[in-house]
Amino acid sequence: MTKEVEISKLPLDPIAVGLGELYVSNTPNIVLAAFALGSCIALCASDPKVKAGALAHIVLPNTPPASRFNGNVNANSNLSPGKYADRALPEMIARLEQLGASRSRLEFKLVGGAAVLSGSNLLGGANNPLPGRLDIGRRNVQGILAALHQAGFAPVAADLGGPSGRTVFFWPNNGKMRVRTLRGEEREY
Amino acid sequence: MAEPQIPALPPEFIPKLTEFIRDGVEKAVDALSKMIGREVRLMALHVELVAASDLLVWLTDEQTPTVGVYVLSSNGPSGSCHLMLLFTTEAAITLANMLVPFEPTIILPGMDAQLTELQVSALSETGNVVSSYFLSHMEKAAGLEMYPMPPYVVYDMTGAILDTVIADLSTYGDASLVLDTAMTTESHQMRGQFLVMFDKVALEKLEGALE
Repeated sequence: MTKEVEISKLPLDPIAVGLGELYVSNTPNIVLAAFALGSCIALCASDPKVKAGALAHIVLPNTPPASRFNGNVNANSNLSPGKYADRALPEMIARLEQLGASRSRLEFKLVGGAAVLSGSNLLGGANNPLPGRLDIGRRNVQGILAALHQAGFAPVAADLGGPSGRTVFFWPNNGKMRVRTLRGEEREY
Repeated sequence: MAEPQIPALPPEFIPKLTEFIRDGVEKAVDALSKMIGREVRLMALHVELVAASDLLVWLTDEQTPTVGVYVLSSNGPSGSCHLMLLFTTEAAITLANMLVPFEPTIILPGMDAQLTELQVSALSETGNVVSSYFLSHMEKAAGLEMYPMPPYVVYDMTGAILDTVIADLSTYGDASLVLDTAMTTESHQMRGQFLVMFDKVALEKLEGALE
């Protein structure tokens, strides 16, 4: 559903989850945020029973071959556990389970995967198709949906694709998610 | 923020690289000056090797509404160079009015303004001109041959605009060489930010060429 933006209702001091980061929490009243998502995806998960949740700021769909990073991809992924969709999901589930969450109760919500560079957000419809290399938003959407499907999950809510960037706020205790765009649109899931 | 994993650059390489990029940016900005018929000056120039994941933090306030003109240039063996001009909406409109003075800007509720198709086309042309001169410098001075794609002109949050560039840089390595500079016309009528980002392959080529 779409709501009018009321500034007073926006969280004042969210914890920013940066590119490639994964934040897991069961602390009451914490708000997590991923600011200005373009092609990136925020993968949000919560277990309502134990009031624990997590947000991963995914940058790319798949972990690259180690050779591309001189064999150092594992170290890289440890530093950025939320960077790749295929690694972020199992890592998130494992960390939530450490907080007492149950895999069977987890609810996933997705935001992002836009094609901002396509330019349609500027001219109101005129589209400048992206070449495959820069069509990262679409590949991220496919990547995270495939990872979820493979793990036996389907998202309960998704705000994906399109030409516009998004900022997302997520309440890990209750799984509430709020999405905001530059033009003041706000949607709650 | 994740700890950046960036390769060390030889200390003697940094001044050479900075000078090389400064020359290229000055040539590109000269061309922009001629295009708009006003002197455009560089105000500051900052070159640094930055982890791709830290780019947003290093560069800017990610939620600022911004008009971006983006050009990707690449060539397999030479790597990739991302050129990005960033303007506030006001500055973009000012620049667009300099380029097509008789085109009225459309003001829409909820937006500062919407550029017309002709204005967007003019801004796109600035991307063509700036990238052509910069890439020509790279080829002449360092033998680094890259081919530009058509420019993209977009309006969104700065972070959302740079997101795809950062993801692309991350695909090919975790470090990128970034040049960040502010430019302005006389009396500060129009100010903008000029970013040049090289991927790991291009950086290695540059290092070899400038030795």
